Amino acid sequence: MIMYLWKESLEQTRGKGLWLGIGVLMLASLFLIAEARFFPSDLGFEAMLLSVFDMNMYLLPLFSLFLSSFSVFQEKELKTSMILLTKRESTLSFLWKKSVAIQVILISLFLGMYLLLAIFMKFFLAFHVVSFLRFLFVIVVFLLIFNQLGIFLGVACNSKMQLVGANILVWFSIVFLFDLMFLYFLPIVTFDNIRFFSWIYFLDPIHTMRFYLETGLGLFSLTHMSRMMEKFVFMDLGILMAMNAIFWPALLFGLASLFRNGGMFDD
Amino acid sequence: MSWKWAPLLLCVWLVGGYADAQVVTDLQERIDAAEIGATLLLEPGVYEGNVILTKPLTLKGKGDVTIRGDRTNNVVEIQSEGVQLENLTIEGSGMSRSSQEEYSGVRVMANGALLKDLLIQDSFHGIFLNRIQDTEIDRVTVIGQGAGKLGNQGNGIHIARSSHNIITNSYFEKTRDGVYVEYSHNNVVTNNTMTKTRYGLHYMYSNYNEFKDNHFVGNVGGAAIMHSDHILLEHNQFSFNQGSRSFGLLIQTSRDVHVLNNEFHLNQRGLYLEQSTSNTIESNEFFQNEIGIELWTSSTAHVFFKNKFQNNRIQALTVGAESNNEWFKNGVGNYWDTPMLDLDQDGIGDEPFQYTSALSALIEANELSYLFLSSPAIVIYEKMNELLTANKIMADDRYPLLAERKGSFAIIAGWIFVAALAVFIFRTRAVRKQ
Repeated sequence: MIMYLWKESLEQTRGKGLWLGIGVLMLASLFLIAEARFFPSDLGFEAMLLSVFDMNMYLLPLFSLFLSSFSVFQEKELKTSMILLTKRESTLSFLWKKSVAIQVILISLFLGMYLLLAIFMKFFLAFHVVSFLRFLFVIVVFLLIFNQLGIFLGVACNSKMQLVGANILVWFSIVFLFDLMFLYFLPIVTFDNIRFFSWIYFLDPIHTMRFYLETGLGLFSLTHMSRMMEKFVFMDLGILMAMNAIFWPALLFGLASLFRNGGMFDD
Repeated sequence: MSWKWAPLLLCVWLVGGYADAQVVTDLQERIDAAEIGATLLLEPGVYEGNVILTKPLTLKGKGDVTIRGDRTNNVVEIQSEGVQLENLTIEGSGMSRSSQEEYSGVRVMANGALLKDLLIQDSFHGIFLNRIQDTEIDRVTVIGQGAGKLGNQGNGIHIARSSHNIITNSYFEKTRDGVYVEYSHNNVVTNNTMTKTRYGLHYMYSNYNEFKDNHFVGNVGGAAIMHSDHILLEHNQFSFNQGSRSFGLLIQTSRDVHVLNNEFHLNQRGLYLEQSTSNTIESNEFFQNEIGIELWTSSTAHVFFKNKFQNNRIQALTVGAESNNEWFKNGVGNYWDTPMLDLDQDGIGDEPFQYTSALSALIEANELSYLFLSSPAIVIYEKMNELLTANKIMADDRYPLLAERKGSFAIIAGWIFVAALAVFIFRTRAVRKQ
């Protein structure tokens, strides 16, 4: 396991993709932090965190998908997976160790970036530790899900072009397309069928993460809601977060192990 | 008895003695015995309520003084003119909702009271002004019991049928409404903070009142003006009022309300207008709200000018059929945070500005639309509807104003950083190739 972690850390830190991703995210976040200086002080820090999350909604899935999927794909392309699999690993154990390595390294590196940003936040704004930790928790769940999605795509795709296309399609679908579908179906949602709508809404991890963050940071009140909204928020948001954090990575790991023959894994 | 029990007995005696010494039971007797117009200086400690003041008197705490009610009635009831309460903590009113009246920490039933430097907690209403006038309330803090119990408690200050009162420099937290006003005219509310309440200010059937320099932050609704006319709201700050039905300021069934120089920051809706007419919205700043102004078409004949719209997800939204509102006055419109041409350099855009959106139909159809306002898909949704010419005109400003554009240091520094990074990367690659 240590070997996988070490290998992953070297590969990721020597590649340009990671630094490009971190650089872009840091730069965009710095602009938001600078802008948040003009927010009212009461909840200005929390509003800034939510703005950073909204910006992450565009960029983080993209970087996460590309970095993790290409990490897996490279194992196939460079035939290192074949070497490992012929020696001592089963496909499942290889996939497990590779997943853990990608998750640990990417999450650590991105968390490191946010901790670096925290210095700027502390410098410019009234820093609230609990809010920042809540934000970091959401980012960890975010990366956990999208890294695993990237791993699945890396396993399932056979060529680099296919992988690039799949990454962009998945990113576009999750960030834009699904919400557009929600918007077009919205007029038929009524008090009677809202529970069904809720399940679909909250099974989209981006929705759940944002809602959890927004309410957790005190920027959205769950009191005095209409009957419709009360029925809509049918479960504790912490539980919904946990469900997303467990369900999607587990499902995607299962799918990756199922689709392994779609790639070039040879036992 | 063995001597080994002595320290324990000593502790019990000390604690018991201490507790007894702190509760003063004769406050009502002292009040009754005081001369008219006297000042009763209370030494630090806990005084037993409930008390009734039936003569002009000043009740002043000397340090940490608490008047604690027995939870059956009002803690302090003022029945005489010219009473002053200063530097006191008041707690423990009756909380029953099936009693003859709603109890409070201080119930004022006579004119000309002065309430200053009070902390009121653990009470149904903080202060209740009932059919009186000329009360001055300054530096009062009322702490309620939080969102979970909003329905079971009263308001920070409840003003009923009372006029010419002044409320300044006070703080209201976790009560039902911060300040509730009904059938009360000519009151002035200045420099107060209302937070974590249902409505920071709830205002009904009351005319000719002024609200200045107040801070409505993190409530379900900032301020709700209902069924009231001729109100001035000036230099208030409405911020972080977020929830599916939240707003910074709601004006409902009211007319001739002047909303001047206020700031609306980071609310679900900055300003929400419904069934109102002839209100003037002037020189306000709408910044980073989900919706800057939401206007239901039951609202007509409003004038919006010199307002600054910046970074709101939706700047203005008119829900329902065409409305009859003016987005300019005397050749002066609003600042729209949109690039415009001004070739004649008169500070007014060369072309009229129409703000369009397709979201009003969606919002009218389903309240859950608010969940998607922060979604990246909204931009595409609006663009698609624009191409399909399904967007509606939300605001028609014939004289849009152009804001002065200042170069932000952060943006310049950011671009310098990007340029330096790009040069460094290319330079490194070039060196490696050599």
